[in-house]
Amino acid sequence: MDRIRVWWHRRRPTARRWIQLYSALLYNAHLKGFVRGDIYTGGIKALCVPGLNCYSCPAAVGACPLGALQNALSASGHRAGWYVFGILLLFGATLGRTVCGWLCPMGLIQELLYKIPVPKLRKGRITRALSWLKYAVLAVFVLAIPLWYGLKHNLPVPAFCKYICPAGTLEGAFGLLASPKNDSLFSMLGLLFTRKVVLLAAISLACIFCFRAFCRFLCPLGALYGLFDRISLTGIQVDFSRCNGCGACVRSCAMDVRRAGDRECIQCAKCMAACRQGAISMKCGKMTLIAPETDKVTAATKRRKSIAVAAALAVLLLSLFCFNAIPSRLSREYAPTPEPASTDFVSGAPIGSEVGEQLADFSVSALGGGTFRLSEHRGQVVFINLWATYCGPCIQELPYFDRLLQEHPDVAILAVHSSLVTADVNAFLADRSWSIDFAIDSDDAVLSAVNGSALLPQTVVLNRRGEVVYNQAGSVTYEKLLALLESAEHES
Amino acid sequence: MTWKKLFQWVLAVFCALLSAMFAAAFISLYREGAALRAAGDAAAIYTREKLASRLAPLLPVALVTAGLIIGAALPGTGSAPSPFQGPEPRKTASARAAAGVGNKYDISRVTEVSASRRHRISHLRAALAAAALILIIAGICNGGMRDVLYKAINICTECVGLG
Repeated sequence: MDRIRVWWHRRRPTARRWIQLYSALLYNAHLKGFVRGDIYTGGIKALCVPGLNCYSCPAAVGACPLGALQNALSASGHRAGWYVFGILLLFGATLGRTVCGWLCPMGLIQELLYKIPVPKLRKGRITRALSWLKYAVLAVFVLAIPLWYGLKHNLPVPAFCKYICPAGTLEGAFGLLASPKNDSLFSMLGLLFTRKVVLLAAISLACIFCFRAFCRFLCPLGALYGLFDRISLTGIQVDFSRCNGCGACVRSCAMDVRRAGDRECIQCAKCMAACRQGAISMKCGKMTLIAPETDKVTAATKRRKSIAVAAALAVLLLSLFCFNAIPSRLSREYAPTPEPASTDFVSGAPIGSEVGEQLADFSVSALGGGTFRLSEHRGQVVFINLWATYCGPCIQELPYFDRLLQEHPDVAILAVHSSLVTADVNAFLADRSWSIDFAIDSDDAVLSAVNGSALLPQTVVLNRRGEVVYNQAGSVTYEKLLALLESAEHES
Repeated sequence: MTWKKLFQWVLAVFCALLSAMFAAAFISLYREGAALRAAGDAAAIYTREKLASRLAPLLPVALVTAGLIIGAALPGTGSAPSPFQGPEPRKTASARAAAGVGNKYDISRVTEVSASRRHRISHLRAALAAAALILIIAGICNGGMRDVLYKAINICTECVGLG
């Protein structure tokens, strides 16, 4: 019995671990997304969470600050990303790297992996040198590449999300692929996905042997918050009247710190236990959050802690209820598909958006003037492409549709921009002389008819009878379009 | 080598093996699919069935690794080594200098922040927080907040590695 008590005493979750779990659950409160295989589309997703948490995760209810920053830099040619800069500045000035130690789901995953009992790689000169790598990742993948492509080519390329981010692979890609409702997503997987999975496996393995390997060597968010190490409101503070400079705090730390609270310090406050002088405390401004063990815990402190725990639990329960039980305002839960307005060329197939079903009629105003009514194009092979100005792959594949129209003028092509417009679509198209029909889906008529998901780009192909022969999210090549055209003509 | 150390090395080998097999399953599946594509077969590189068949051989290794991890977590068995080396007994200044602690950990840089500097830092912090709030309000007004929302609810698939 004593052995079990000792075992539990050594392994019970600390307050920090509970807070890490709490924040991970709060960031990912839309748990029904895992069951339904979709992402949360409520208005609150405009808020960035402080930690690294991919917004394409089916459960995520907030935006990732790094993803938002890269997108803002990509779009800086037409709109300055003041909002994202402000949010990051606010997090940096108030929390700094406390986010890494207490509020980051990726930090939690890395620490849990490090609990696997294998021989560990301890910090040293090499790890300290490698800790500069994350600044290079920040400069190149988060700042330079998105800014260069955004300004020079008007092409959004969030390079860190696309090529490195393990949170995107783990939470976003695997989270979406896990649902049987997203089987069609498998068809779009290729080299990019393979590379990211291999990188995820390597990072996970590194985290088993090396404490917070991703956080220490690669995470640009940690690098960004590290810049605020001297000014952030929350963090550990050293009482120099008690400190005797023994260096126990630095020796006991698994991060590559040179002094308690520097840019590498994740403010986990574990060094407090190592300090025999009781010189280290965790503070938020003048308020002491964690006092040294040598100090007595007052009844008032205990009462404040109980109130904080109760309030946090209430917030979590309320969030879980709201995000899972109440449909969001922007939620795309479409009404039942209406009957087709026209009976011409009705194939007898049921109305729907799956392959083999007949797509319901819709009409949408074309940007060049006039109206595109689907029923008027029965007898033609129709390509419908859902795109957005901020989606790089969407912009790259639009010329293929234009080329298809040039070479096969008998097909009808409609490129539909979601009603959620972030830039002037007309201004975007003005520089490009594409001859395909463009429309903005202001009342979600197209999105509703094709059962459009939250994933871009999406292509729908109809045969001459108006039946769906292809309806999938993901990029297409010109060769793929030709194959789809052939297939649609063959099935007509 | 103690039994505990041996156990840790065995577990390390299994973790590395599992990770390598996991990555290799994806690489081989991709290479096979890409070769078929090059030969003119337009079939999807990845499907749930193909992936399941590639990952199935990993199951025994995964089970053994999980068993070892659970075994290590049981009372009385090998526990995870702490990354923290624990406090050292208090040393005198001369002992610290003899041990080279001051140079290694750069303790000399640990100096008390003067009151005036603390004052400056708190002013700078307040200025940064105010600037952050102004930027956020400016961002809400210029549509930046809406941009963040739209990009977070209309995901570009390739941008998150689905491609």
